[in-house]
Amino acid sequence: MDRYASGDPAAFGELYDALAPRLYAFIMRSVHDSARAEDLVQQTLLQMHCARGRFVRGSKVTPWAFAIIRRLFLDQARRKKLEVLSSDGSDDVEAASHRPGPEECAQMRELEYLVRQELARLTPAQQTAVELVYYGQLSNAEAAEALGVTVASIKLRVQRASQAIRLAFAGPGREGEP
Amino acid sequence: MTTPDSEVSGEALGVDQRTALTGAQLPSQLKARVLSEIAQRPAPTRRSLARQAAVVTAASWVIAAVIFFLAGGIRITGRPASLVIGTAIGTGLVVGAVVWAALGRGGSTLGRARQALLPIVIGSPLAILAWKLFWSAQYSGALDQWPTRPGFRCLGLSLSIGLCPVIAFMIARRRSDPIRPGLTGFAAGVAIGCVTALLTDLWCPVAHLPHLLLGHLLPIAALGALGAWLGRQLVGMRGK
Repeated sequence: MDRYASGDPAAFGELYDALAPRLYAFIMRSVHDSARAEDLVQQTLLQMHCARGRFVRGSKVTPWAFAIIRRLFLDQARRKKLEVLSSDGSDDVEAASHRPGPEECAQMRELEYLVRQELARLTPAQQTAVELVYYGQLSNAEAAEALGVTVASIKLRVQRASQAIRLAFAGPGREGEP
Repeated sequence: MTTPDSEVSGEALGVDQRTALTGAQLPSQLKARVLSEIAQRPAPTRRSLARQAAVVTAASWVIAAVIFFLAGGIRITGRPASLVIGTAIGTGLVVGAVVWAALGRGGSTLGRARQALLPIVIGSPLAILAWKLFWSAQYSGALDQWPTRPGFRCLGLSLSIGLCPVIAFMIARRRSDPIRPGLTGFAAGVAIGCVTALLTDLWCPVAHLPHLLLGHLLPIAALGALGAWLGRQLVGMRGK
């Protein structure tokens, strides 16, 4: 990104290769719609291009990119009044083609459905932290930078979220279990 | 790729690692589309933006300095020189800290963490007030009331000095903050307000508490509020 911010146009291709797949995988978890996810990734990369002159020399590009895509997603969701966190548990059809076998696939879908249910019960701050750290594959430091909070705060949110999820899975009688 | 140092694995949270890490679903034509779009939209480089920002910021501070000197500049007005210098040194140290924290970005494009920024931004005006009262209390009569000077002139001067630099900051940082542009603007407004408080202290001989609250502290809060509003309007990064 430093090279691109200084005016090297060829660096954008490398930037795309490094970031776009991660951004796409991350945002697909929230939108469940490949066309919208593509649009958000495209908008994010365009915003990064337009704001390249404001990129601080030597700073990390990943938290910046994730912060932008998250902002664009929240703005879009607000505008379209989408139910961001509610999900019917259905997955993208394309994703199914990458899964190994019917039995394993069913187990993974069930697990994912249960986890999503529990995630929806967390506070918004905890949900965001978990999404960035696990689905976005950001380190605690990167997630903290992307949210504008301290690393200690991210660690605490993730720890509380995992405790809540663990408790929910350990406890009897989950509602809406398939 | 990094591994989160937490107790719960990605698998336990339902992450399909293959999808998350390789992005196997990413459409191949997206790259060509993005590259073609950016080719049609030239964006300024870091050097050209830095030059623009330097010009706008310098111009705003020149205007602020002209306003300050037109109003009379540094006025001793019967105060001991050590009172003026001591007040300025203490206030200057606080101003240096808040300007460094609020106008700098701490080596990150996204700026400093909220928890690191807020205490400095909120504490600085209070520290300036406390120092002014403490240092003035060392001189007899320095804290006396001036019935003809309730603080409105200081309020007006501070606001007129601080207005241009606040706007210049917003122009220099426009459409750059995807997280909390309101806080960025608020911090900048307060930092610039603290600089104006330093200049107003050099100009104004009054250290009576109600005068300080109205004429020296309220402008900092007002510039902070203006900064927060302008930050949300101008500094926030928005989608189409």
